[in-house]
Amino acid sequence: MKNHDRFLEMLARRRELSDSEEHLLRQHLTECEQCWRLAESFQDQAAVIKSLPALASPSSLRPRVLAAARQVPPHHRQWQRRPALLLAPLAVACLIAVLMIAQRHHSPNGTALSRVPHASSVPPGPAVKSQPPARSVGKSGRPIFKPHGSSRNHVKTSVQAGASTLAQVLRATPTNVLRQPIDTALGSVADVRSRPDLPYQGAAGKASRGNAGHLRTTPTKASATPVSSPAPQPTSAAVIRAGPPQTALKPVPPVRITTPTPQPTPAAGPPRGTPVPSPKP
Amino acid sequence: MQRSEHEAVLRQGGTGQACDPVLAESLEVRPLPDTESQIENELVRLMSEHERPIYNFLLNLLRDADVALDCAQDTFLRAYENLRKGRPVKTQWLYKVARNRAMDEFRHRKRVQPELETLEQIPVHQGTERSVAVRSILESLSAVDREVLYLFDVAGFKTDEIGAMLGIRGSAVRQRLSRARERFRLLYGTDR
Repeated sequence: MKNHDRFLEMLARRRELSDSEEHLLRQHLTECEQCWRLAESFQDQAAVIKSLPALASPSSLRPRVLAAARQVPPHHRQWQRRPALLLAPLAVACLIAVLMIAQRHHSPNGTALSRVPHASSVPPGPAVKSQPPARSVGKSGRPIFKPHGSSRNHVKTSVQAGASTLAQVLRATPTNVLRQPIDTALGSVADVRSRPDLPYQGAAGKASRGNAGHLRTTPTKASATPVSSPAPQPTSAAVIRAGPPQTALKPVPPVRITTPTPQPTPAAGPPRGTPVPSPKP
Repeated sequence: MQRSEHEAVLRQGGTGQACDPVLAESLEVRPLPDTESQIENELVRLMSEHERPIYNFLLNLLRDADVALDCAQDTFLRAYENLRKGRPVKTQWLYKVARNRAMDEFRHRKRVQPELETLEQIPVHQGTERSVAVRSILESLSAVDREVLYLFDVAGFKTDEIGAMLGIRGSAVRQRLSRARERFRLLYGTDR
């Protein structure tokens, strides 16, 4: 039946059938009497409709159209009517250029932000993707933070990790509990600053600004100056690195923050993921 | 087709005729008019060629002589605007515009006078008894059936072209045509 419908459709549009379709239809018409009758009827129908005398269009149509056409205002392109439209793309281009220049000037170290590769564009190293930054325990039992490299990516990654840890801590800790260690830590730093007999390393400020990747907070024997009281509390950057505040608030032996030491480039240095050996005391 | 492409085709074919006659026929290649007088001449030429079939198509669709006249006028005004913008006007485009204008009129009628039948406004058909009978059968069909029968049998378009005009697939047009023929056959058979 479906096949029959197909031939019915072909009969309806017989004028535009291709040769192969016409051949197929003729074959079917020799076999099917019903379709043969329909074919005759449809052919007659098409001829009848086509032969209908077309009515003459009213004589008023052409003058009406021409009169209306003459009243249409002259065609101008849009920019000819409104020249200000030409200035719009120019203004947008200037704005973009100004924004790009401003961004370049405000980027850190005076370089374009686009030069700093995004953390996601860093090739997936085993240490960066799958493992947390390597931690080892120093002689005093305090965990030592060891960044995998000195490249800016690692600094960025560690800063991001620290920020997320801080956010977790802030979320988990009640406000009154949180305030206390921070105040204590700030107070202890102020105490250390105020005492001239104690060596104060200004690099701690750098650590809090996010250059922790260049720093090593390993206790050394040469710098192990005994500080009796008060015990220096970890700064906020140290809290970030050390993890939860309980760990960070433990009294730790005095540490000496050394100045940033140049790290070998990732190409020349050890591969990522390999633990950096702690410097010999 | 943009003006540059159009002119490229013209250059290829010489004086208004592309190399390939089939292509020339399909594109209806003609030099695009530039000045206002040329545009007006082109409009007059278009009207002398398509005025009657377009008017009959609209009349067949709308069954109202006055409304068909208005729609035909709007159609040719649209063609005039197109010519002024430097775009060529094809036959298929003219039918499409006319049909869209008729559809607008249908919507307007439905909104304003839903049950008004304007059969009395159809001009009296002059012709043989047979042609009068055929016209009355066509008028008793739905607008969709009339439209597809007229475009295929009278205007001579192919089903794919009608599909492009109506915004439907060629297969849907073929189905519509088949059903319209069947309905017409039933009425014509009993009427004869």
